[in-house]
Amino acid sequence: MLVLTRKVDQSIMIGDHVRIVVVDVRGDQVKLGIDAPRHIMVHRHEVYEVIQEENKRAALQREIDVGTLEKALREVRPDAQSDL
Amino acid sequence: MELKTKFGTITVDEEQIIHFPRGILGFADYHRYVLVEREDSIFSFLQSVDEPGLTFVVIMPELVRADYEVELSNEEIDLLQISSPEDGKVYGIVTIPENVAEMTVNLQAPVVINTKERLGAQLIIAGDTFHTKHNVIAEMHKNAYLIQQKSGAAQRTEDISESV
Repeated sequence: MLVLTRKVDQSIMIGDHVRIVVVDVRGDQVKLGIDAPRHIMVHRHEVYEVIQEENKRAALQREIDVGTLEKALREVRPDAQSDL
Repeated sequence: MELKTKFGTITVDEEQIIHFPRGILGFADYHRYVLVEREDSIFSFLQSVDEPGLTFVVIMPELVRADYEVELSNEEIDLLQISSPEDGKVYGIVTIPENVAEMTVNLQAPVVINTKERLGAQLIIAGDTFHTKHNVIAEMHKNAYLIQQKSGAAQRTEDISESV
């Protein structure tokens, strides 16, 4: 991994279009500003990982028909009723 | 163009294709999808045009949470070229486990589609109100019950609450 040392208000460029600025440093917290084109998603890594994992689980692994899903909706009696 | 998908063979017209400039998280290489909706079901399919094996089941989040709202950032409005709120349709991606009854919907990262411009994106909602695994059946029943309490319920929710 490339490691760069920067001071507050200094920045780094990733390619021609993404700029990351060190806005503030306090103790072990670093505040970063990011300038990126809008087609580039910027997220905290933890959030990104959770969503990515869920999407991978959601992408269908087997054939499915809508009837099976609708049937589940009609027939399953949820436990949540007891909360009502 | 014909696609042999996990829910049958479908015919896709060029003008139905929705472009996802950022792709779906984890599937960044796929940018072209079609939304296959059915009149007789709340479940729709978000189908990759370029990879017939890549299919997501989606539902409208309001079915699970009547008060569900998505606030778009300026960047997202630009990305999706949304000029009025009616342009945007919101969907939640459903995860269907082995036991179908335990299906969940991801309300933390909804898919927003500009139906006019045929542009789509998966967004991430900040905060901890919504997460990636809302139990569809449990929350739908709860939601239908709450709606009924409020006023006359729609046909759909009456159908659902019959089994309650």
